[in-house]
Amino acid sequence: MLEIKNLKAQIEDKTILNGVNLKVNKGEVHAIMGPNGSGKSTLSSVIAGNEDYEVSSGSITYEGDDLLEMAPEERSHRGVFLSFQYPVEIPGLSVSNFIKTAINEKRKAFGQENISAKELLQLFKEKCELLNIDKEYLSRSLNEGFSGGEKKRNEIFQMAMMEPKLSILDETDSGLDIDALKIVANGVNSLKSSSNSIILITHYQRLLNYIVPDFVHILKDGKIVMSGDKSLAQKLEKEGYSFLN
Amino acid sequence: MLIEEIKKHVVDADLTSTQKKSLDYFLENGFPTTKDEDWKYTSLKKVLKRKYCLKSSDFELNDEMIQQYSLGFKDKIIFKNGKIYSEPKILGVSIKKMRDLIMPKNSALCYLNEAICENSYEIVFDKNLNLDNPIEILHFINNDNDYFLQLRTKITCGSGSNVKLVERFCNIGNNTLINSCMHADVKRNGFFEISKLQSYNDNTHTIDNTLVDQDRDSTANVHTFSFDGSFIRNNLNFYQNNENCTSNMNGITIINKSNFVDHHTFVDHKFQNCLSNESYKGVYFDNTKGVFNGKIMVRPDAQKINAFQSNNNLLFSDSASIKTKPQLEIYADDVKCSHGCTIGQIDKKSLFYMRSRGFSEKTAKGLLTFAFLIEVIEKLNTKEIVDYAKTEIAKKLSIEKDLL
Repeated sequence: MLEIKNLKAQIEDKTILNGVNLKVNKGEVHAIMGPNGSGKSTLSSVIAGNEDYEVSSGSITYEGDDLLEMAPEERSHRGVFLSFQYPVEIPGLSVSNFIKTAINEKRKAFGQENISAKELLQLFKEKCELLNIDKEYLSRSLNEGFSGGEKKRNEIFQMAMMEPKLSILDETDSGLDIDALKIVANGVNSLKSSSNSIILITHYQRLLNYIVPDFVHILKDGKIVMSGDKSLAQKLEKEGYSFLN
Repeated sequence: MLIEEIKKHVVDADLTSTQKKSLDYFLENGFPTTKDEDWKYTSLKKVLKRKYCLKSSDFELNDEMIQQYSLGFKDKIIFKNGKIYSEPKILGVSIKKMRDLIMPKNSALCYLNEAICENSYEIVFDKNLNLDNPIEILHFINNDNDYFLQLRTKITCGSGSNVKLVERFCNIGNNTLINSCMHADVKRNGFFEISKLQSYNDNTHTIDNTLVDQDRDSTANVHTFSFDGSFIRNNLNFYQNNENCTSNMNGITIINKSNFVDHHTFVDHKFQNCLSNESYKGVYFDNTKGVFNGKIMVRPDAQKINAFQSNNNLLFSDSASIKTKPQLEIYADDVKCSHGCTIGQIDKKSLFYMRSRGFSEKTAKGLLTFAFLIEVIEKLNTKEIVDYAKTEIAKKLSIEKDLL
């Protein structure tokens, strides 16, 4: 599904990714861990198409096509989803209108009709239940005045509504209390299937107790320096990043 | 020169003594120039360069044209080049042509209007009249030549009346400079609301003077939508002449090409326990220029005043500009006044967030801009007006109206 080869990226002349290699197959869950400033968020931004970052070399192939050639919206239409570490607030735009438009923009890109009101309502109802969200919240302005946890839950709600093939969850666990974490993790687990993939970016092993990864990678100084299975995360939790030295 | 043309025009005119005095005042002062503080950023030079005629010519008006410009309200007052063409029959509403119609004035242009306007009308809404629906005032304008038109209307809202109006100038002809004076006199406990739909063609240049006198316990709302027209200057003045008055001003400006819009507002808080609320939002594309000047005066005895003002602007192009200035003069000590101006661009982070959710850049920008405007739109309580605003906004943002 996704293949990253020797990816180097920079922001304003500062190199952040320094040769990342990663292969994610259908149905796999990968966790990327690493100390602060190691490039985790940059990697997710580059995959989603944030133009603030410049890719200086390397490639990202998604479903056999050059992902770096695609505009951010095209990546989204093709099924790439980034759950933001810091979701933006958009006063004046309701959650429901935002999600409806997102769904319809994708449909438009594939020459399909807009989603019907009935279908949309059904989908809202189903996904609200999944994530334990009060329907009243759909009419609120997007992320405006949301607590940190609500914002993260809203990201996963969007993920549930848009049914992406490749989801990158950038520190979705930070800012969540234990109950919210369980709800979000349950939501993510129920969206998991053999045809979609998830990349979890996290600092802590805590999230991985609930969403069990197939692979764990450690990113350091813009490179993946170690990969393993879920036991690697446990080792990290116990020993810290110092064991890498 | 237009001044010469005006002098020629009045030679044969049968002016009243008031009109003569006003004419003298105008001729002495001339058109405002950028040397006048209130016109510092607004030059009439280009607009006045044309050779305008002052005489009206007649033209055919049919239902189709009326429908094209109407928002569909049942009751319409229609003018043709300033002359009344049709009026609704509503009990408690009367329209009279006036020989002398004296109004407050805020610039030499008001004096000129008083001196040479040949069709002045007073529309009277009887006391306690409660209109269920807004009345549309449509001014159709057409002339064989480039045309300098004076419009002059006094609106009297009787005590306890509830009056909603929608006003639109529909120029279907040549280059026209409109100098409009409207004076609303809102009596005790009256409610007056007017929505000004400024969707003009490129041939239209407007100076719109709206002066509102308010008596005790009255409310006046003026909504100004500036969407098209090469030159628009709005002078909007509220005079709170007794206690417990409320004045609300809302403005949405979205312009493109090389169009120009200037909003000059003034609220005169003369008595205690009054409120004014002003919210203007502007979106500027291409080579457009905007001016906002919001003056709030709180006189020495006007205690317990709440006055709020905001002017927020989005610039979409490096060659667009806005000059914005709050001007507060407060001479009472127990008042609450706030003001704020912002000028900015679409937030890049929000844009990326939306694109990463599949929004095209155009749709994302459009929705972000609409979200920026929504605070003002939410203050509108008439379905047809909201619909009009959304249609025009969607057009300017090149997005489907259904998205809004």
